[in-house]
Amino acid sequence: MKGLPEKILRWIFIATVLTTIEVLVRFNLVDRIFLTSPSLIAAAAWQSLFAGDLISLSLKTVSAVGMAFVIAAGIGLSAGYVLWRYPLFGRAYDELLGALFASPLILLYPISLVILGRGINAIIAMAFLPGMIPIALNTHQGLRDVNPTYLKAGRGMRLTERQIMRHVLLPAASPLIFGGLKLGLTYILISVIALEFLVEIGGIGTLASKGYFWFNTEELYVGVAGAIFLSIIFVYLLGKAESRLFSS
Amino acid sequence: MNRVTKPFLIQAGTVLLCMMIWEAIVESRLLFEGIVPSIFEIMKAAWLQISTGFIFPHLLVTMYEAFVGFALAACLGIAIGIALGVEPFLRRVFEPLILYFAATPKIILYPIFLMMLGAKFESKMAMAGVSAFFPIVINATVAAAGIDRIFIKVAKSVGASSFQTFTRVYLPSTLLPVFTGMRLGMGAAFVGAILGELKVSNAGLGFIIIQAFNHFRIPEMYASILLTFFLAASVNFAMTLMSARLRRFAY
Repeated sequence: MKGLPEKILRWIFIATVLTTIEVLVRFNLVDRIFLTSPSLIAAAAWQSLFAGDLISLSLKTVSAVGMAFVIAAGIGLSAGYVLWRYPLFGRAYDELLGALFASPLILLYPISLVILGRGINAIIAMAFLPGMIPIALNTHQGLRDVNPTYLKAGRGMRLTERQIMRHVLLPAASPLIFGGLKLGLTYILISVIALEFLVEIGGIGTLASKGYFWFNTEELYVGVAGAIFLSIIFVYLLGKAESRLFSS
Repeated sequence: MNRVTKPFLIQAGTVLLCMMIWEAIVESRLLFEGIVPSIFEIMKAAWLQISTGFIFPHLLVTMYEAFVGFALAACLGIAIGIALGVEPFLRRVFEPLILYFAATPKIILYPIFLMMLGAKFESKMAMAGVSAFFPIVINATVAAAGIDRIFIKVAKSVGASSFQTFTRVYLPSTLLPVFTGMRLGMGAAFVGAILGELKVSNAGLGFIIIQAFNHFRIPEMYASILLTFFLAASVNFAMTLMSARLRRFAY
Protein backbone atom coordinates (compact mmCIF):
# COMPACT_ATOMS: atom_id res chain seq x y z
CA MET A 1 0.00 0.00 0.00
CA LYS A 2 1.33 3.43 -0.92
CA GLY A 3 2.09 5.74 1.98
CA LEU A 4 2.20 2.94 4.53
CA PRO A 5 5.76 3.53 5.86
CA GLU A 6 4.93 7.21 6.32
CA LYS A 7 1.86 6.33 8.32
CA ILE A 8 3.77 3.89 10.52
CA LEU A 9 6.55 6.40 11.07
CA ARG A 10 4.01 9.08 12.01
CA TRP A 11 2.47 6.82 14.65
CA ILE A 12 5.93 5.85 15.92
CA PHE A 13 6.69 9.56 16.30
CA ILE A 14 3.48 10.17 18.26
CA ALA A 15 4.15 7.11 20.43
CA THR A 16 7.70 8.29 21.12
CA VAL A 17 6.51 11.72 22.24
CA LEU A 18 3.87 10.19 24.56
CA THR A 19 6.32 7.64 25.98
CA THR A 20 8.91 10.34 26.66
CA ILE A 21 6.35 12.34 28.64
CA GLU A 22 5.25 9.19 30.48
CA VAL A 23 8.85 8.39 31.45
CA LEU A 24 9.59 11.97 32.50
CA VAL A 25 6.59 11.99 34.82
CA ARG A 26 7.00 8.43 36.15
CA PHE A 27 10.61 9.06 37.16
CA ASN A 28 9.69 12.39 38.72
CA LEU A 29 11.92 14.32 36.35
CA VAL A 30 9.28 17.06 36.12
CA ASP A 31 6.93 18.43 38.72
CA ARG A 32 3.58 16.64 38.57
CA ILE A 33 1.76 19.91 39.07
CA PHE A 34 2.99 21.04 35.62
CA LEU A 35 2.83 17.89 33.62
CA THR A 36 1.01 14.65 34.12
CA SER A 37 1.52 11.38 32.32
CA PRO A 38 -0.55 10.35 29.28
CA SER A 39 -1.68 7.19 31.11
CA LEU A 40 -3.08 9.23 34.01
CA ILE A 41 -4.78 11.62 31.57
CA ALA A 42 -6.28 8.63 29.76
CA ALA A 43 -7.50 7.17 33.05
CA ALA A 44 -9.06 10.49 34.06
CA ALA A 45 -10.65 10.84 30.62
CA TRP A 46 -12.01 7.26 30.84
CA GLN A 47 -13.54 7.99 34.23
CA SER A 48 -14.99 11.27 33.03
CA LEU A 49 -16.35 9.49 29.96
CA PHE A 50 -18.19 7.00 32.16
CA ALA A 51 -19.49 9.65 34.51
CA GLY A 52 -20.93 11.23 31.35
CA ASP A 53 -19.25 14.61 31.90
CA LEU A 54 -17.01 14.44 28.90
CA ILE A 55 -19.84 13.41 26.60
CA SER A 56 -22.28 16.06 27.82
CA LEU A 57 -19.59 18.76 27.56
CA SER A 58 -18.68 17.64 24.03
CA LEU A 59 -22.35 17.62 23.06
CA LYS A 60 -22.72 21.17 24.37
CA THR A 61 -19.78 22.27 22.23
CA VAL A 62 -21.02 20.41 19.16
CA SER A 63 -24.53 21.86 19.48
CA ALA A 64 -23.17 25.41 19.81
CA VAL A 65 -20.99 24.76 16.74
CA GLY A 66 -24.01 23.36 14.90
CA MET A 67 -26.21 26.34 15.66
CA ALA A 68 -23.55 28.86 14.70
CA PHE A 69 -22.87 26.89 11.52
CA VAL A 70 -26.53 26.76 10.44
CA ILE A 71 -26.83 30.54 10.83
CA ALA A 72 -23.45 31.19 9.19
CA ALA A 73 -24.24 28.86 6.26
CA GLY A 74 -27.71 30.34 5.74
CA ILE A 75 -26.50 33.93 5.70
CA GLY A 76 -23.15 33.19 4.04
CA LEU A 77 -24.62 31.25 1.12
CA SER A 78 -27.31 33.85 0.43
CA ALA A 79 -24.82 36.69 0.80
CA GLY A 80 -22.48 34.95 -1.66
CA TYR A 81 -25.35 34.58 -4.13
CA VAL A 82 -26.34 38.24 -3.81
CA LEU A 83 -22.72 39.37 -4.26
CA TRP A 84 -22.53 37.31 -7.45
CA ARG A 85 -25.88 38.60 -8.74
CA TYR A 86 -24.80 42.25 -8.25
CA PRO A 87 -21.12 42.31 -9.35
CA LEU A 88 -20.53 45.94 -8.35
CA PHE A 89 -21.51 45.15 -4.77
CA GLY A 90 -19.57 41.92 -5.08
CA ARG A 91 -16.35 43.79 -5.84
CA ALA A 92 -16.93 46.26 -3.02
CA TYR A 93 -17.91 43.73 -0.37
CA ASP A 94 -15.26 41.14 -1.27
CA GLU A 95 -12.63 43.62 -0.11
CA LEU A 96 -14.60 44.69 2.92
CA LEU A 97 -15.27 41.11 4.04
CA GLY A 98 -11.66 40.13 3.33
CA ALA A 99 -10.41 42.96 5.54
CA LEU A 100 -12.86 41.99 8.27
CA PHE A 101 -11.77 38.36 8.06
CA ALA A 102 -8.10 39.35 8.40
CA SER A 103 -8.81 41.39 11.53
CA PRO A 104 -8.72 39.82 15.00
CA LEU A 105 -12.50 39.31 15.22
CA ILE A 106 -12.32 37.13 18.33
CA LEU A 107 -11.14 40.14 20.34
CA LEU A 108 -14.65 41.55 19.98
CA TYR A 109 -15.98 38.97 22.42
CA PRO A 110 -16.28 41.33 25.42
CA ILE A 111 -18.68 43.42 23.30
CA SER A 112 -20.76 40.35 22.54
CA LEU A 113 -20.86 39.50 26.25
CA VAL A 114 -21.93 43.02 27.14
CA ILE A 115 -24.73 43.13 24.57
CA LEU A 116 -26.02 39.54 24.66
CA GLY A 117 -25.18 38.66 28.23
CA ARG A 118 -22.92 35.99 29.59
CA GLY A 119 -24.43 32.97 27.87
CA ILE A 120 -24.30 30.57 24.99
CA ASN A 121 -25.87 33.18 22.66
CA ALA A 122 -22.83 35.40 23.04
CA ILE A 123 -20.60 32.49 22.02
CA ILE A 124 -22.75 31.59 19.02
CA ALA A 125 -22.82 35.22 17.86
CA MET A 126 -19.03 35.50 18.11
CA ALA A 127 -18.44 32.20 16.29
CA PHE A 128 -20.91 33.10 13.55
CA LEU A 129 -18.85 35.97 12.13
CA PRO A 130 -15.55 34.17 11.31
CA GLY A 131 -17.66 31.26 9.99
CA MET A 132 -19.93 33.27 7.73
CA ILE A 133 -17.22 35.30 5.94
CA PRO A 134 -15.34 32.44 4.21
CA ILE A 135 -18.67 30.86 3.22
CA ALA A 136 -19.86 34.11 1.59
CA LEU A 137 -16.52 34.79 -0.11
CA ASN A 138 -16.14 31.25 -1.48
CA THR A 139 -19.75 31.07 -2.69
CA HIS A 140 -19.27 34.35 -4.51
CA GLN A 141 -15.98 33.22 -6.05
CA GLY A 142 -17.35 29.80 -6.96
CA LEU A 143 -20.33 31.23 -8.86
CA ARG A 144 -18.23 33.95 -10.48
CA ASP A 145 -15.58 31.54 -11.76
CA VAL A 146 -18.01 29.19 -13.51
CA ASN A 147 -16.83 28.79 -17.08
CA PRO A 148 -19.00 31.13 -19.24
CA THR A 149 -19.12 28.48 -21.95
CA TYR A 150 -21.23 26.29 -19.64
CA LEU A 151 -23.69 29.14 -19.18
CA LYS A 152 -23.86 29.74 -22.92
CA ALA A 153 -24.46 26.04 -23.48
CA GLY A 154 -27.23 26.10 -20.88
CA ARG A 155 -28.89 29.14 -22.46
CA GLY A 156 -28.48 27.51 -25.90
CA MET A 157 -30.50 24.59 -24.61
CA ARG A 158 -33.16 27.08 -23.51
CA LEU A 159 -32.86 26.30 -19.84
CA THR A 160 -34.74 28.64 -17.52
CA GLU A 161 -32.76 30.70 -14.97
CA ARG A 162 -33.81 28.24 -12.29
CA GLN A 163 -32.68 25.25 -14.34
CA ILE A 164 -29.34 26.95 -15.08
CA MET A 165 -28.85 27.50 -11.37
CA ARG A 166 -29.75 23.93 -10.53
CA HIS A 167 -27.96 22.08 -13.34
CA VAL A 168 -25.10 24.38 -14.36
CA LEU A 169 -24.06 26.91 -11.75
CA LEU A 170 -24.42 24.90 -8.56
CA PRO A 171 -22.61 21.74 -9.72
CA ALA A 172 -19.78 23.78 -11.24
CA ALA A 173 -19.36 25.99 -8.16
CA SER A 174 -19.87 23.23 -5.58
CA PRO A 175 -16.19 22.38 -4.88
CA LEU A 176 -15.44 26.00 -3.94
CA ILE A 177 -18.69 26.36 -2.00
CA PHE A 178 -17.90 23.20 -0.07
CA GLY A 179 -14.39 24.53 0.58
CA GLY A 180 -15.98 27.65 2.07
CA LEU A 181 -18.34 25.62 4.25
CA LYS A 182 -15.42 23.50 5.47
CA LEU A 183 -13.32 26.55 6.28
CA GLY A 184 -16.28 28.22 7.98
CA LEU A 185 -17.02 25.17 10.11
CA THR A 186 -13.36 24.90 11.17
CA TYR A 187 -13.28 28.56 12.18
CA ILE A 188 -16.54 28.18 14.08
CA LEU A 189 -15.21 25.19 16.00
CA ILE A 190 -11.98 26.98 16.91
CA SER A 191 -13.89 30.08 18.00
CA VAL A 192 -16.44 28.16 20.08
CA ILE A 193 -13.79 26.18 22.00
CA ALA A 194 -11.61 29.27 22.48
CA LEU A 195 -14.56 31.30 23.78
CA GLU A 196 -15.72 28.51 26.06
CA PHE A 197 -12.24 28.54 27.54
CA LEU A 198 -12.05 32.33 27.83
CA VAL A 199 -15.52 32.95 29.23
CA GLU A 200 -15.96 29.63 31.04
CA ILE A 201 -19.44 28.85 29.79
CA GLY A 202 -20.60 25.92 27.68
CA GLY A 203 -18.76 22.76 26.75
CA ILE A 204 -15.37 21.15 26.46
CA GLY A 205 -13.37 24.42 26.53
CA THR A 206 -14.44 25.17 30.11
CA LEU A 207 -12.78 22.00 31.43
CA ALA A 208 -9.20 23.20 30.89
CA SER A 209 -9.96 26.56 32.45
CA LYS A 210 -11.55 25.02 35.56
CA GLY A 211 -8.73 22.49 35.87
CA TYR A 212 -6.24 25.33 35.89
CA PHE A 213 -8.02 27.45 38.46
CA TRP A 214 -8.53 24.50 40.84
CA PHE A 215 -4.98 23.20 40.31
CA ASN A 216 -6.44 19.93 39.10
CA THR A 217 -3.72 18.93 36.65
CA GLU A 218 -5.47 15.81 35.33
CA GLU A 219 -8.70 17.70 34.64
CA LEU A 220 -6.74 20.44 32.91
CA TYR A 221 -5.01 17.98 30.60
CA VAL A 222 -8.23 16.06 29.94
CA GLY A 223 -9.75 19.39 28.87
CA VAL A 224 -6.80 20.28 26.62
CA ALA A 225 -6.62 16.79 25.08
CA GLY A 226 -10.42 16.65 24.68
CA ALA A 227 -10.54 19.99 22.87
CA ILE A 228 -7.69 19.05 20.55
CA PHE A 229 -9.19 15.61 19.93
CA LEU A 230 -12.60 17.08 19.08
CA SER A 231 -11.09 19.51 16.56
CA ILE A 232 -8.99 16.74 14.98
CA ILE A 233 -12.09 14.55 14.54
CA PHE A 234 -13.92 17.45 12.91
CA VAL A 235 -11.10 18.16 10.48
CA TYR A 236 -10.74 14.45 9.69
CA LEU A 237 -14.45 14.01 8.96
CA LEU A 238 -14.56 17.15 6.83
CA GLY A 239 -11.58 15.94 4.80
CA LYS A 240 -13.25 12.54 4.28
CA ALA A 241 -16.52 14.17 3.23
CA GLU A 242 -14.71 16.39 0.76
CA SER A 243 -12.76 13.59 -0.88
CA ARG A 244 -15.88 11.43 -1.09
CA LEU A 245 -17.96 14.20 -2.67
CA PHE A 246 -15.42 15.51 -5.14
CA SER A 247 -13.07 12.62 -5.77
CA SER A 248 -14.16 11.98 -9.35
CA MET B 1 -16.91 56.95 -12.48
CA ASN B 2 -14.42 54.18 -13.07
CA ARG B 3 -14.00 50.64 -11.74
CA VAL B 4 -12.14 51.70 -8.62
CA THR B 5 -14.13 54.63 -7.25
CA LYS B 6 -17.56 52.97 -7.41
CA PRO B 7 -16.74 50.02 -5.13
CA PHE B 8 -14.89 52.42 -2.84
CA LEU B 9 -17.99 54.61 -2.55
CA ILE B 10 -20.07 51.53 -1.68
CA GLN B 11 -17.52 50.52 0.98
CA ALA B 12 -17.44 54.00 2.51
CA GLY B 13 -21.23 54.17 2.34
CA THR B 14 -21.56 50.83 4.13
CA VAL B 15 -19.26 51.89 6.94
CA LEU B 16 -21.17 55.17 7.27
CA LEU B 17 -24.51 53.34 7.25
CA CYS B 18 -23.32 50.97 10.00
CA MET B 19 -22.24 53.93 12.10
CA MET B 20 -25.62 55.62 11.56
CA ILE B 21 -27.48 52.43 12.55
CA TRP B 22 -25.32 52.24 15.67
CA GLU B 23 -26.11 55.86 16.56
CA ALA B 24 -29.81 55.26 15.88
CA ILE B 25 -29.77 52.31 18.30
CA VAL B 26 -28.08 54.52 20.88
CA GLU B 27 -30.61 57.33 20.39
CA SER B 28 -33.64 55.01 20.37
CA ARG B 29 -32.60 53.58 23.76
CA LEU B 30 -33.66 50.15 22.51
CA LEU B 31 -30.65 48.71 24.29
CA PHE B 32 -29.53 49.81 27.71
CA GLU B 33 -27.53 53.01 27.30
CA GLY B 34 -24.58 51.72 29.29
CA ILE B 35 -23.85 48.86 26.91
CA VAL B 36 -23.96 50.70 23.57
CA PRO B 37 -22.29 54.08 24.04
CA SER B 38 -22.39 56.63 21.24
CA ILE B 39 -19.51 56.68 18.74
CA PHE B 40 -18.49 60.13 19.97
CA GLU B 41 -18.17 58.85 23.48
CA ILE B 42 -16.00 55.94 22.29
CA MET B 43 -13.82 58.34 20.30
CA LYS B 44 -13.49 60.58 23.35
CA ALA B 45 -12.42 57.62 25.48
CA ALA B 46 -9.92 56.54 22.81
CA TRP B 47 -8.47 60.05 22.59
CA LEU B 48 -8.18 60.16 26.37
CA GLN B 49 -6.27 56.87 26.39
CA ILE B 50 -3.83 58.24 23.80
CA SER B 51 -3.46 61.83 25.01
CA THR B 52 -2.85 60.89 28.63
CA GLY B 53 -0.32 58.27 27.53
CA PHE B 54 -2.27 55.64 29.45
CA ILE B 55 -2.26 53.10 26.64
CA PHE B 56 1.43 53.22 25.65
CA PRO B 57 2.98 51.07 28.41
CA HIS B 58 0.33 48.42 27.72
CA LEU B 59 0.92 48.69 24.00
CA LEU B 60 4.64 48.12 24.57
CA VAL B 61 3.98 45.06 26.73
CA THR B 62 1.75 43.47 24.09
CA MET B 63 4.20 44.27 21.30
CA TYR B 64 7.10 42.86 23.31
CA GLU B 65 5.24 39.60 23.96
CA ALA B 66 4.05 39.30 20.38
CA PHE B 67 7.44 40.07 18.83
CA VAL B 68 9.43 37.65 20.99
CA GLY B 69 6.89 34.88 20.37
CA PHE B 70 6.84 35.69 16.68
CA ALA B 71 10.65 35.65 16.40
CA LEU B 72 10.87 32.21 18.00
CA ALA B 73 8.05 30.90 15.80
CA ALA B 74 9.66 32.34 12.67
CA CYS B 75 13.08 30.72 13.34
CA LEU B 76 11.55 27.36 14.15
CA GLY B 77 8.81 27.51 11.52
CA ILE B 78 11.10 28.44 8.64
CA ALA B 79 13.75 25.86 9.59
CA ILE B 80 11.24 23.03 9.96
CA GLY B 81 9.23 24.16 6.94
CA ILE B 82 12.27 24.18 4.64
CA ALA B 83 13.43 20.81 5.98
CA LEU B 84 10.01 19.29 5.27
CA GLY B 85 9.73 21.02 1.90
CA VAL B 86 13.03 19.78 0.45
CA GLU B 87 12.63 16.23 1.80
CA PRO B 88 9.40 14.77 0.35
CA PHE B 89 9.46 11.74 2.65
CA LEU B 90 9.63 13.87 5.82
CA ARG B 91 6.88 16.06 4.42
CA ARG B 92 4.57 13.08 3.93
CA VAL B 93 5.24 11.93 7.50
CA PHE B 94 4.85 15.21 9.35
CA GLU B 95 2.70 17.53 7.25
CA PRO B 96 -0.62 15.83 8.16
CA LEU B 97 0.21 16.23 11.85
CA ILE B 98 0.99 19.92 11.37
CA LEU B 99 -2.20 20.50 9.36
CA TYR B 100 -4.34 18.80 12.00
CA PHE B 101 -2.82 20.81 14.83
CA ALA B 102 -3.10 24.02 12.84
CA ALA B 103 -6.90 23.61 12.96
CA THR B 104 -7.09 23.34 16.75
CA PRO B 105 -7.72 26.30 19.06
CA LYS B 106 -4.27 27.21 20.37
CA ILE B 107 -5.62 29.16 23.34
CA ILE B 108 -6.57 25.86 24.99
CA LEU B 109 -2.82 25.31 25.63
CA TYR B 110 -2.64 28.56 27.60
CA PRO B 111 -3.24 27.04 31.08
CA ILE B 112 -0.28 24.71 30.46
CA PHE B 113 1.90 27.70 29.60
CA LEU B 114 0.63 29.52 32.68
CA MET B 115 1.62 26.61 34.90
CA MET B 116 5.03 26.15 33.33
CA LEU B 117 6.01 29.75 32.60
CA GLY B 118 4.05 31.76 35.14
CA ALA B 119 1.44 34.49 34.72
CA LYS B 120 3.86 37.16 33.46
CA PHE B 121 5.18 37.83 29.95
CA GLU B 122 6.61 34.40 29.17
CA SER B 123 3.28 32.60 29.01
CA LYS B 124 1.95 35.18 26.53
CA MET B 125 5.13 34.87 24.46
CA ALA B 126 4.49 31.12 24.30
CA MET B 127 0.89 31.79 23.22
CA ALA B 128 2.10 34.21 20.54
CA GLY B 129 4.75 31.71 19.42
CA VAL B 130 2.39 28.75 19.11
CA SER B 131 -0.18 30.85 17.25
CA ALA B 132 2.41 32.23 14.81
CA PHE B 133 4.21 28.92 14.23
CA PHE B 134 1.54 27.18 12.13
CA PRO B 135 0.97 29.71 9.33
CA ILE B 136 4.75 30.15 9.02
CA VAL B 137 5.65 26.46 8.91
CA ILE B 138 2.84 25.63 6.46
CA ASN B 139 3.85 28.39 4.05
CA ALA B 140 7.56 27.58 4.36
CA THR B 141 6.89 23.90 3.58
CA VAL B 142 4.87 24.70 0.49
CA ALA B 143 7.43 27.30 -0.63
CA ALA B 144 10.41 24.98 -0.22
CA ALA B 145 8.62 22.12 -1.97
CA GLY B 146 7.83 24.42 -4.87
CA ILE B 147 11.45 25.33 -5.68
CA ASP B 148 12.22 24.51 -9.28
CA ARG B 149 14.56 21.47 -9.18
CA ILE B 150 16.37 22.76 -12.25
CA PHE B 151 17.68 25.75 -10.25
CA ILE B 152 19.24 23.40 -7.74
CA LYS B 153 20.71 21.20 -10.48
CA VAL B 154 22.19 24.25 -12.22
CA ALA B 155 23.67 25.51 -8.95
CA LYS B 156 25.27 22.11 -8.39
CA SER B 157 26.63 21.87 -11.92
CA VAL B 158 28.29 25.28 -11.71
CA GLY B 159 29.92 24.15 -8.46
CA ALA B 160 28.04 26.34 -5.96
CA SER B 161 28.73 25.58 -2.31
CA SER B 162 25.80 24.65 -0.11
CA PHE B 163 25.89 28.14 1.44
CA GLN B 164 25.78 29.68 -2.03
CA THR B 165 22.94 27.36 -3.03
CA PHE B 166 21.06 28.51 0.04
CA THR B 167 21.58 32.24 -0.52
CA ARG B 168 21.20 32.16 -4.32
CA VAL B 169 18.52 29.52 -4.82
CA TYR B 170 16.59 28.67 -1.68
CA LEU B 171 16.34 32.15 -0.20
CA PRO B 172 15.15 34.06 -3.27
CA SER B 173 12.70 31.35 -4.39
CA THR B 174 11.03 30.98 -1.03
CA LEU B 175 11.20 34.61 0.07
CA LEU B 176 7.73 35.80 -0.90
CA PRO B 177 5.61 32.84 0.23
CA VAL B 178 7.58 32.57 3.46
CA PHE B 179 7.04 36.27 4.06
CA THR B 180 3.31 35.84 3.48
CA GLY B 181 3.37 33.15 6.17
CA MET B 182 5.24 35.57 8.45
CA ARG B 183 2.65 38.27 7.86
CA LEU B 184 -0.16 35.90 8.81
CA GLY B 185 1.94 34.62 11.72
CA MET B 186 2.49 38.15 13.01
CA GLY B 187 -1.27 38.72 13.09
CA ALA B 188 -1.77 35.40 14.86
CA ALA B 189 0.99 36.26 17.36
CA PHE B 190 -0.80 39.48 18.32
CA VAL B 191 -4.13 37.73 18.73
CA GLY B 192 -2.48 34.94 20.75
CA ALA B 193 -0.75 37.35 23.12
CA ILE B 194 -3.88 39.48 23.57
CA LEU B 195 -6.13 36.45 24.19
CA GLY B 196 -3.66 35.33 26.86
CA GLU B 197 -3.81 38.77 28.43
CA LEU B 198 -7.60 38.72 28.38
CA LYS B 199 -7.61 35.54 30.45
CA VAL B 200 -4.83 36.08 33.01
CA SER B 201 -2.47 39.09 33.11
CA ASN B 202 -1.57 42.34 34.79
CA ALA B 203 -0.49 44.41 31.78
CA GLY B 204 -1.06 44.71 28.04
CA LEU B 205 -3.88 45.63 25.67
CA GLY B 206 -5.89 42.53 26.57
CA PHE B 207 -5.53 43.46 30.22
CA ILE B 208 -6.96 46.96 29.82
CA ILE B 209 -9.85 45.62 27.70
CA ILE B 210 -10.85 43.08 30.34
CA GLN B 211 -10.27 45.56 33.20
CA ALA B 212 -12.66 48.00 31.57
CA PHE B 213 -15.14 45.14 31.04
CA ASN B 214 -14.92 43.96 34.65
CA HIS B 215 -15.38 47.48 36.05
CA PHE B 216 -18.16 48.25 33.57
CA ARG B 217 -16.29 51.20 32.03
CA ILE B 218 -17.89 50.33 28.70
CA PRO B 219 -16.82 53.29 26.48
CA GLU B 220 -13.26 52.65 27.61
CA MET B 221 -13.61 48.98 26.69
CA TYR B 222 -14.83 49.81 23.18
CA ALA B 223 -12.03 52.36 22.81
CA SER B 224 -9.34 49.85 23.78
CA ILE B 225 -10.73 47.26 21.37
CA LEU B 226 -10.85 49.89 18.62
CA LEU B 227 -7.23 50.88 19.23
CA THR B 228 -6.18 47.22 19.27
CA PHE B 229 -7.84 46.69 15.89
CA PHE B 230 -6.09 49.78 14.61
CA LEU B 231 -2.74 48.41 15.80
CA ALA B 232 -3.38 45.01 14.16
CA ALA B 233 -4.32 46.71 10.88
CA SER B 234 -1.19 48.93 10.95
CA VAL B 235 1.12 45.97 11.59
CA ASN B 236 -0.53 44.06 8.75
CA PHE B 237 -0.23 47.09 6.48
CA ALA B 238 3.46 47.58 7.36
CA MET B 239 4.20 43.94 6.56
CA THR B 240 2.33 44.19 3.25
CA LEU B 241 4.48 47.21 2.31
CA MET B 242 7.62 45.29 3.27
CA SER B 243 6.61 42.36 1.11
CA ALA B 244 6.25 44.71 -1.86
CA ARG B 245 9.82 45.85 -1.21
CA LEU B 246 11.06 42.29 -0.96
CA ARG B 247 9.64 41.49 -4.38
CA ARG B 248 12.81 42.94 -5.92
CA PHE B 249 14.97 40.26 -4.35
CA ALA B 250 12.72 37.37 -5.19
CA TYR B 251 12.12 35.32 -8.31
